[in-house]
Amino acid sequence: MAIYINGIGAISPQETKNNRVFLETILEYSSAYLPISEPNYKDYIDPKDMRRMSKIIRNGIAAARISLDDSGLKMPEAIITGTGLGCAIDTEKFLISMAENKESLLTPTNFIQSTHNTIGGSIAIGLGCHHYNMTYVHRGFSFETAVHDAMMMMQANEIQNALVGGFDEMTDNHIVLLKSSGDYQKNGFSNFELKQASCSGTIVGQGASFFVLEKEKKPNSYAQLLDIKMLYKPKSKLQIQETILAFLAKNNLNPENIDLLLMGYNGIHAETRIYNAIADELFAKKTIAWFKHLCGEYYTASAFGTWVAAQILQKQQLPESILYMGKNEGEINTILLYNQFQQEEHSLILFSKC
Amino acid sequence: MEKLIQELKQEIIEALNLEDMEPDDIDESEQLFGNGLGLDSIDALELIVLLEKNYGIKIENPKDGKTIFYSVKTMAEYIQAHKK
Repeated sequence: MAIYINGIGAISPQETKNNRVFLETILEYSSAYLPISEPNYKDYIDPKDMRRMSKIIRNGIAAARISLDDSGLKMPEAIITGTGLGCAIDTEKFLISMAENKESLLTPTNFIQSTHNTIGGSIAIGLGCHHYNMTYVHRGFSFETAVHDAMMMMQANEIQNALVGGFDEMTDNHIVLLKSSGDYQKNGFSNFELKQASCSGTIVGQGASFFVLEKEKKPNSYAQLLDIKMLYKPKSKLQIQETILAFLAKNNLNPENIDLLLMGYNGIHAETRIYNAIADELFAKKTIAWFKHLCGEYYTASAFGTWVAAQILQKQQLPESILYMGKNEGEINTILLYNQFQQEEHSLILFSKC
Repeated sequence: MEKLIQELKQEIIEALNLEDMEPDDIDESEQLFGNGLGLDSIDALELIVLLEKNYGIKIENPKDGKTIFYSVKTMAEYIQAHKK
């Protein structure tokens, strides 16, 4: 059964709010983590509803609004989101206040806005949508699980469309914990340097990306979403390769049929070795693109990768800024997005041109 | 009293995240809830915490809230009368 991406919306460290342009300007950062290139939130959210919303809530709602407007869909039959950290800033504020005030004098706003499903709920309230509403919190599989749920519900004919998104924000406290792992770059490192062989470690990012998925193909469809697969803690490179081949075979494809391999290269050497092995041993001479130097590494970065894949397929453009290896020429009909998070969660998402 | 009213306005703006508002935008006699500033029940909880946290005042009888939180001026008068 075919599922189409009919609307997209991304608020990210790059200029992505306008879907008509595709990575024409690339922003360089050297901060502790990539900040969001903020839109004018009042364009998407009623100012009187906005005052209690933290940035991640505003970003999520804005991305959802952009994707709905893009598709023309007024009322989705399901709102399904994925997030690794949820509304982390409000969670921290609430917990810090709890600690400082000895569990008394707690204000309601930070608590109400701190739950992982705050964004899914806020989108539903804004739309007056009383349909299925689900948020998945599964580390590096959060967005993938949301997509999987939407696909299964459509395949079971329970819904005809869904608004699906992934979002995460970074906080000063959380970045301290992340950097203790040694997998992250020190402050002052530019996202433009991530590809250099000498660099070891990634940059932290954040963002919100939403998609309108529908069973019906429309003139404004971006791409067809063919299939998704998650692989948790693979035992070896061979297992990853076998999984990719089986995944492609299930969709009547082989590596030769893939026009573009979009991978989550992030500067961590252990992950780069796996990406390179997949590229060299399964997809030799294929064009490879990447995206994490633009959005940074975070639990739901694959949602940004999905936004990139949808734009490439619809516009038939492969900007030089995301070309990792190979030639930028010819028609792009099929994209395989392969992402991994901290070498534990590995995901495959297959797209084709409409 | 005037100093307290100005401080209170600033604290309300910060606690309720009233973006784009300055203390001078709030009329001290204006109704906080309903037609005036348009605050709601969650804001009421925030104001109760603000009184306790910043001024050490705990409202024992919830029925008094309607009178205390009628306006910035009534809040300031209550604080001045009950500040510990």
